[in-house]
Amino acid sequence: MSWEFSMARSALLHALFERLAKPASDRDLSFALLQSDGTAIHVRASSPADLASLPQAASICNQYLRLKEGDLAIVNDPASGGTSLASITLVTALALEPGFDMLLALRFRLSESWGEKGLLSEEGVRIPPTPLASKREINRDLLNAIASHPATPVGFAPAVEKYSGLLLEITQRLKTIARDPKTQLSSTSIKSYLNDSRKLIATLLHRLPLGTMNVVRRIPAAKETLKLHLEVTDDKVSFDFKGTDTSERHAITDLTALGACVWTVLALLDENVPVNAAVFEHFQISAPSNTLLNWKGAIGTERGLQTIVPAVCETVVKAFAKLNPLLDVASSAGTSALAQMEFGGVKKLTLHIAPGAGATATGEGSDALPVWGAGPGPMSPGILEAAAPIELTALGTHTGSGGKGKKLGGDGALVSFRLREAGRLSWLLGASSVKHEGHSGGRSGSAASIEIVRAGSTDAEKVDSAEGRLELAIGDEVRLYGAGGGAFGSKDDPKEETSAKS
Amino acid sequence: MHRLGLWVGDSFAEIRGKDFSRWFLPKKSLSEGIKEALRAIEDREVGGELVFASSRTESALERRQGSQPALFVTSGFESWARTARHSRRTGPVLSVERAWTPVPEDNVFGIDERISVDGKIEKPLKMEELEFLVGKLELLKVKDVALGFRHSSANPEHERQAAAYLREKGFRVSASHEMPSVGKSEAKAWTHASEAAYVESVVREDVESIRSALDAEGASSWKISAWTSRGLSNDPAAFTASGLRGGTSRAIGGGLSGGKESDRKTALIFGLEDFQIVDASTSVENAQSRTLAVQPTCQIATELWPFPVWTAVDRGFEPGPMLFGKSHQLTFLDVLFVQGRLTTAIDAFSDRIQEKSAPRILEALFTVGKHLAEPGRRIADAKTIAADLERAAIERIAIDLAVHPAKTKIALLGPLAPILAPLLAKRRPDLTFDVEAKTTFADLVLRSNGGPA
Repeated sequence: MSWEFSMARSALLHALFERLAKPASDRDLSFALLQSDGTAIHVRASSPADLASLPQAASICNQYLRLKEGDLAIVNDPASGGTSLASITLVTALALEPGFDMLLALRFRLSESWGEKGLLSEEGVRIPPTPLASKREINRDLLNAIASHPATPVGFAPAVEKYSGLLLEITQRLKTIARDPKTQLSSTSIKSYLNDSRKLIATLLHRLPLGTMNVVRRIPAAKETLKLHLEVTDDKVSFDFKGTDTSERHAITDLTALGACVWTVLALLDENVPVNAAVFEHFQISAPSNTLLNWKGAIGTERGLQTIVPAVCETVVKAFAKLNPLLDVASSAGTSALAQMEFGGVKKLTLHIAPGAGATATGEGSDALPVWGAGPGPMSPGILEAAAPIELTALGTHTGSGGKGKKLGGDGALVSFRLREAGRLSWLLGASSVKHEGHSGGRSGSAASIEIVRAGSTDAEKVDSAEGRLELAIGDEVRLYGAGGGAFGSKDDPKEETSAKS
Repeated sequence: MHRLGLWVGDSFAEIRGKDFSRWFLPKKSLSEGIKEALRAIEDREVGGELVFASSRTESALERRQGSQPALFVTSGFESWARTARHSRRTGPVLSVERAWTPVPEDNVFGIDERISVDGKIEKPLKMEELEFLVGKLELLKVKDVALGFRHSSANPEHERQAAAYLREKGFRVSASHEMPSVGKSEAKAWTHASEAAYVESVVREDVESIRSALDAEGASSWKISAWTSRGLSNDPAAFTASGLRGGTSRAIGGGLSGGKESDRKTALIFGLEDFQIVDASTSVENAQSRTLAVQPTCQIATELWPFPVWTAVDRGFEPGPMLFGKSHQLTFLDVLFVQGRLTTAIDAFSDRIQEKSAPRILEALFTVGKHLAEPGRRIADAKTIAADLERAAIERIAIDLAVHPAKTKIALLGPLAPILAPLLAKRRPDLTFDVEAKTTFADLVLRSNGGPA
């Protein structure tokens, strides 16, 4: 054999896990496979927030509920591995071999809620680890009881049913695969897979610049500051956020923060790295309990996902860029601005207004794509119009909103619609509410904005606040513009021209 | 009445008439191959039917062989056509690239028309706007136009008017309301219309070749039928890029099931150009196919794991696998060749194999080993690497089979089926593989009446 055969087997196991997770990743859902002791085997996250928190949520569910094959648990509580109340995690178990159980977890997002006071209780129903199904039968009384709570988002029960079915289907496939002895899906091969992943990530980490770096950055569109002490050694990357501000208005859990840090490093490595316990071993985070990176108690987390997560990711990029300037990128909002429409007191539409990505030294920023957030996928006009009494007048990108420069910043999204009934607009622009800097002379992208054209008028009224609510009449037109990403390099950089001529 | 079954791929075509013939398209044209088959039928003037299936829409899209079309959309939605092509994030990345779009940004034009969600015309289509754009298209030398007007599924009137006008001006038009996906999703219908416009010239050329071959051999009276996404059709209006898309899996599905519930099958298709898994059901409309992770001309990569993996990059037959003597890119066929698997004669393929290419392939495999070897470790010999790569390919196919809700009895079809069957049978002894060596794609095209179209 030309190389250790375990590596060949591990490469194939990685392909198998990717294939297994595909039905989830195709729907922009997060998926995790882990041992019943909580050791992550494969994590396919759709956003930085889910990367470290999803395996933890699954593990906590199992600790409390001792899941058996055919059982399903549900959880969204940030105290039990959740990120925000709009992110629902489903967990099930599979007995792979006697004494070796696996857990499978799926996370999906429902329509987000946020309140004026910034409290968790304003953001939905808090669900601790709860048994949802036994022998593949969902407890519908329980499901309906949660669904009937006034704070539960519309569509909760159908979404839980749908994704429970998907998770059980993936579990069944894994069971079928495990029955094939030649797949060698066993506790031994998984141990070997984790060992090989350990070697692989250790090799990849050598590409990172070594050293320590301190970065202090203000969270865009917020008053608070993040303080990061980054330390990169041969086999460990440590993120120490001691000195970071506290907040009474927004926070994220320490696992969300860890996920954001690890996600950013993996993005800098730019490889399809297998994400599992072996990878997490190489990362360490210190998020002191009095900071906004270590959520406790009553504070809401939805604003944190919109503003703190992208700020953490960008702070990590900046710290690495100080060690190696080639790793730098222009800034971007990173997460989508949110807008919602209520008609007759019922929330009918949630729109994610995607920002443009920041450009890099080698590439332009992508249009309308949240680099540091969950992407709900492209908006389909037919679906939006079916969901609420609106008529779309424009959908696409806000041309020219990306920063100008040698490499252009990505344009933000554009959604424009006219109301067919009176309704109420609420919005949370978050990190998108401010301009995001260009790099090396590149211009900033424009901030997200909202315009209202009242029925019968041609004048557009600009909405100034980063969040708020507005009553609208039939025939009013709403125009939502996503933030542009920053550009990289100046178009007229004399140094560039000289080097081009020479 | 005579019947000919024709299968048109990207590089190979097959015909079943009096005899069976497969040929390599870069060496013998589609038209010439059909003419030869017709000449073998002495009384062809009595009439007959030519039934065909073509995978050219899919392959020309995959290999970017079309021509740049224009896209007319409802104004306000010009950039949506592009952003709807969301490239799903494959993991943590700093910049996400969108999926390739067949219409360049500069060729998307907004049309100031509006139809409401319930199909009411709110802003009529102005023909003068189209007249102006026609001049622009002529300057750009654009021949194919896709139409994506809002709510065309509720009321296609504007698309019909625009299509009639543009067709009269000599353009080929693919309108979203004519796409099979219409009514399901506007994004899909617009994308399909754009893709159809992109490859329309390629597909039309094939259809014209078929017609001209019949005319040239005194078979003008022959009926032409084609496998379409909806089943078998003899309506020439369906012989377009969008109409023929998905027709090959319908042909396989229809041909395998033969219309009998008891004969429902799962089939692995090991063609020279594509490997697929197909679930054939009684209704051809329900035939499902999925491309396997390993393809005959897919490339290998060695970026992440210290073990080569098969990638989704499909090199096709231009310039071909290394065993044809021209290419420098290793493919799965090259691995099978140096493993000594390609010993059975395969029409139109075996005679193209250059035996002298073996050392070059082994050298390329050795280079892969050199790239992967850790410092201080002995570099593996090329034969070992070939064996590992073959095993990895079979494992990937086994994964595809494992996640597929397959039956325990699986039909294996295609010219490479007899070669891969023993390898698969060894890997999955719990399954029964029936190699239908004598059933060609051209036979499947003829076998079923196709159901509704």
